[in-house]
Amino acid sequence: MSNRVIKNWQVIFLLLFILIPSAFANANAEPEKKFDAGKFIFGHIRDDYSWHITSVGEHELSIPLPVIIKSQSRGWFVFMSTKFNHGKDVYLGFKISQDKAHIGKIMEMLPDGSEVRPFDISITKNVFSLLISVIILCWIFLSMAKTYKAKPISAPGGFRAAMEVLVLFILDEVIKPCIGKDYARYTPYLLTVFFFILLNNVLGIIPIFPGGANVTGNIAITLVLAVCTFVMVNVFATKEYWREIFLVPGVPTWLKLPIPLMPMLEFMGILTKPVALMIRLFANMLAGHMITLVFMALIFIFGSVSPFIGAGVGVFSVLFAICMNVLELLVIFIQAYVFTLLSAVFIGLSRVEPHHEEAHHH
Amino acid sequence: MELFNPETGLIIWMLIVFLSVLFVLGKYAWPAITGAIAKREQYIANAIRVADEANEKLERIKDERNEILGKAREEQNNILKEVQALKEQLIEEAKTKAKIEAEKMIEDARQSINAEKEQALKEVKNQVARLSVDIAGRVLRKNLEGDEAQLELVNKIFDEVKILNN
Repeated sequence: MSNRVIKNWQVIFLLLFILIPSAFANANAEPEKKFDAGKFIFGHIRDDYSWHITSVGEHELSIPLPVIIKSQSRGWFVFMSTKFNHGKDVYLGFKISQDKAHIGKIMEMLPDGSEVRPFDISITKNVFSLLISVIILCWIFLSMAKTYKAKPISAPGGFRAAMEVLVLFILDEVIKPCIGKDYARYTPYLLTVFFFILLNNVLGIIPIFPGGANVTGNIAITLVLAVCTFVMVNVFATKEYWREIFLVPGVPTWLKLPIPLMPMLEFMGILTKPVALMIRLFANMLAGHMITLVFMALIFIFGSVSPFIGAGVGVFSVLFAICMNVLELLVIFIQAYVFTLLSAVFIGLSRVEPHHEEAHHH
Repeated sequence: MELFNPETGLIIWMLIVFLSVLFVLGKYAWPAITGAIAKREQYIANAIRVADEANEKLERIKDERNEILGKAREEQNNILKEVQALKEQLIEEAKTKAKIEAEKMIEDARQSINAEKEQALKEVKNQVARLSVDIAGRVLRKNLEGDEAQLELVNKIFDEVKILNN
């Protein structure tokens, strides 16, 4: 009995490996009808001008969002993204590009036939998700602050207690030990960063509106966060921090005098730290989204070959996707924690005080 | 690849949104929350300290009480001892007084007995003298015939009286 089951499995696996390439071949041959995994995955990961929820037959169900663009020659334009009819129409000389270089972005069609990218500050899916998350964030913590002000001594309950555990965790395990005595100045920034990332990560793994936007997996978001940390690290840095970067005490003089090798390396370090922060959060969150989407895409890839194989693969894909989502639950917390922790560590490094031995030396 | 190309519009929105949420939470939420948590921590620390102090005080009071009790007990013992001593002394005194009194009484009694005895002896002597004189008179009246015999008798009586008077 069990032997037969194993044999059946082997057959199915064999079939799978034979059919995968043909499925891709089919998808390439007839892009209109066949399922395009790349488009599916990147369509979910990419920022968008409308918030696509689902398709009901031919009809696309999505939340329209405002487009705000400034043409270099014609000035400002504000209209709803429905005007593009899901990228099919051209509106006022603007269209949503299908080219590889600017895929999914609004392009202005100039009279000479060329296309340029207008200055675009549209409320996109990510911006809208950002606004929702910020409203939730403010609502949670302002209401919490109100309760704390009303009765500071009484112990919190329910959701407030859970939030307090997180606040205390970040405060006592990250901020205080990493920064040291001047931690109070950085507390608001680090707490905001942690909860901002955490909430956006949480919203990211909720598949339906208001979740599902790939906010923290977008490099523009992590770029701004990394720049903020860069500012917090370097603006309030101590003199000793700059002295250690440019004078590099304790290193032979020949490494810094004719060619300032060590100072250059140290200076590079200032820049690589925030870049590492930016890439780490972006890549982790993007990968998490991608894996889940790949498992989902597998169902449709095999489904386009045969509905039965699609259903069979679907069971395992869903199981794997659930496992990945459980892992993601861990990852969203860890990434928020790591970003906050590293920011705190970098800030702590910028708060160095002169050492006593060196003070004697000079 | 477009995924690695940060969009200007999104950067601008992110800056606006993040900085405003940082401002709002930094001004209205975090100070209140961390302040309240710190306040509560301080309150709890204070409460524990006060409880410790109260316990210490209680311990001290217990010690003091024990000390006072000990002292009181000692005092009591002392007083009891003193009372005992006083009692014994009083009894001793009373005994000596009684003895002296008794001796005095005995002495008085002896003296008065002596006096009575003397008186009685005197009286007996007088009686005897009178009786002797009487007897002598009677004897004399009978025997006063010869002079020589009379003289001898008178002398004899005188001697006897002398002995008696001594």
